[in-house]
Amino acid sequence: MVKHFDPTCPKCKQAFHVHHEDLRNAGVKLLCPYCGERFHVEEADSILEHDGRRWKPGAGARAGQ
Amino acid sequence: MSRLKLEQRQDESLSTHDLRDFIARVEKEGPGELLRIRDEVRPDGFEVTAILANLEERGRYPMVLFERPLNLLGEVSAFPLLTNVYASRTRCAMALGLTPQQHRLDLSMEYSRREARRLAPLALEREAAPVKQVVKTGLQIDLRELPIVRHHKMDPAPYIDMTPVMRDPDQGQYNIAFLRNMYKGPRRLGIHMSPRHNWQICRKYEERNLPTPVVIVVSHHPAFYLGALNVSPFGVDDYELVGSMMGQPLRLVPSETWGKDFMVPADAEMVIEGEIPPGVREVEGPFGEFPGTYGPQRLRWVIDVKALTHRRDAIYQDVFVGHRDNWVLGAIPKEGTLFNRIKGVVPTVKAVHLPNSGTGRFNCYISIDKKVDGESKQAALIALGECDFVKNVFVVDADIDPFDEEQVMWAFATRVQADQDVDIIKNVKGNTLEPSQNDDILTTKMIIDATKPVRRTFASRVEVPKEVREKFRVERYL
Ligand SMILES: [Zn+2]
Repeated sequence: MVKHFDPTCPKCKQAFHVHHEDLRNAGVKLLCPYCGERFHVEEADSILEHDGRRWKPGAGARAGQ
Repeated sequence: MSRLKLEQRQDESLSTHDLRDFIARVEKEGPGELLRIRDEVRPDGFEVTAILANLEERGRYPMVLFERPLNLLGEVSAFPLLTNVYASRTRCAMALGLTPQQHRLDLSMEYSRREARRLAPLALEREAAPVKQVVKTGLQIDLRELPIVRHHKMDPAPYIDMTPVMRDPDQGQYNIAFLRNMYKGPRRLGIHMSPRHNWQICRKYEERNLPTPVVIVVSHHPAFYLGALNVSPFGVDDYELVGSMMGQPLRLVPSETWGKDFMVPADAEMVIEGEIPPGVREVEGPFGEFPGTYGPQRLRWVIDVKALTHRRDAIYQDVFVGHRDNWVLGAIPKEGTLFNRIKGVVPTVKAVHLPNSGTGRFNCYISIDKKVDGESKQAALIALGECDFVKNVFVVDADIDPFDEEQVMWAFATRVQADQDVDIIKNVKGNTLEPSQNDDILTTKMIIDATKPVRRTFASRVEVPKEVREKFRVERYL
């Protein structure tokens, strides 16, 4: 499987799979498949990285960059 | 340019070109193979896949015709929705003009025979083409009128999951592939491509800063779609190969957008014509994919829809991706090819099957009438080398039916010592959507040799004397 990370939507708080190479650092808004919210990676409620680390973008250092 | 001929020999095993005759044959000859649902259902609200999943839970895999699906505007669609067509090998056999009983190796071998042939397409005048009965272009088009299916919970939108066709700008051959198309707007779709044939064609147009013409064949006879899954190399004209698969020339008609420069299937129920603008990428997915797991959201191409043409009473078609509908489709084209390749080296090969439990791709069961130790390993290595989807190969003796998974697992249980009969091959090219793979490209393959050794004694299988069994046939008691 290609590497993916799982951001949690800031609006509906549900997580989904996103292709790491395509979208981790592309600066493009992600699309929440559950509620349709569009948000930047940094705006995610939390992120589960492909290596299993979970972090909250609003809470401090930007991991996985 | 694809070769067009006005006259061709027609295969009598298939008397028609279209989907509705296939549906009629299934209804007549395959009791229980067609389920008609007359209730209103919302395909974009998971209601179609909910019914399919509930049928699956009961071990039922009929082709389902939803007669009153709602479209994306919430109205009863003008187009009935047909799905789960390929979820039974019996129906796939019927699609190729075989009897329902010929659904096992006969079906794979017939596919293989037809795949090796080509049949030049036939050009029709516009007036004779059923797919031109209704033509919409520009602002007349509203994809929301279609009963597009949203399949799984993490899918962000309804998806058309049938076959986009592209045409190589250099050599002119047409390529057909199952690719997912995300609904994005009344005249806009997303499209996902892996680095295969259509991706190569699109790349050529993009390098020239040109839009890529694309035609989505939304609904046609199932032999069209079985042919679309061929494993032929780049450069083969899929319209010619599909003609061979259908047993008669594929009838074509000029597209609305490009005229004779891009021909479209005249007997399709519905086609969508569009262009992929160069250099444009948008988020697309996630999407519940063939392994039964989600592929992640990606940055992918888009399609600007230019024309929608269809029969007056067109039937819209869908594949229940990630389920048996998708798996049987994947297995059939590979089994016949693998059988032929293995037979060239191990002439005693009896059958090859890619079971639904391996998504019709990842697991491969091969039976051989082994004469020499080591032949089993040869057969397995050919299967692994021939098809990069194949991950785990089980080789069994000729007394085991590879189409009967219980028998295969019995051989695995009673004829395998893991330290002697299992081989692990690391760092082989795999498939990016296979979820256990922890590298983008590389995977680990496995050979399980569940055959008995030739050069030493081995416990025989129990048997009830045949002559006594024949005296006591159960028909007397049932
Ligand atoms: Zn959301």
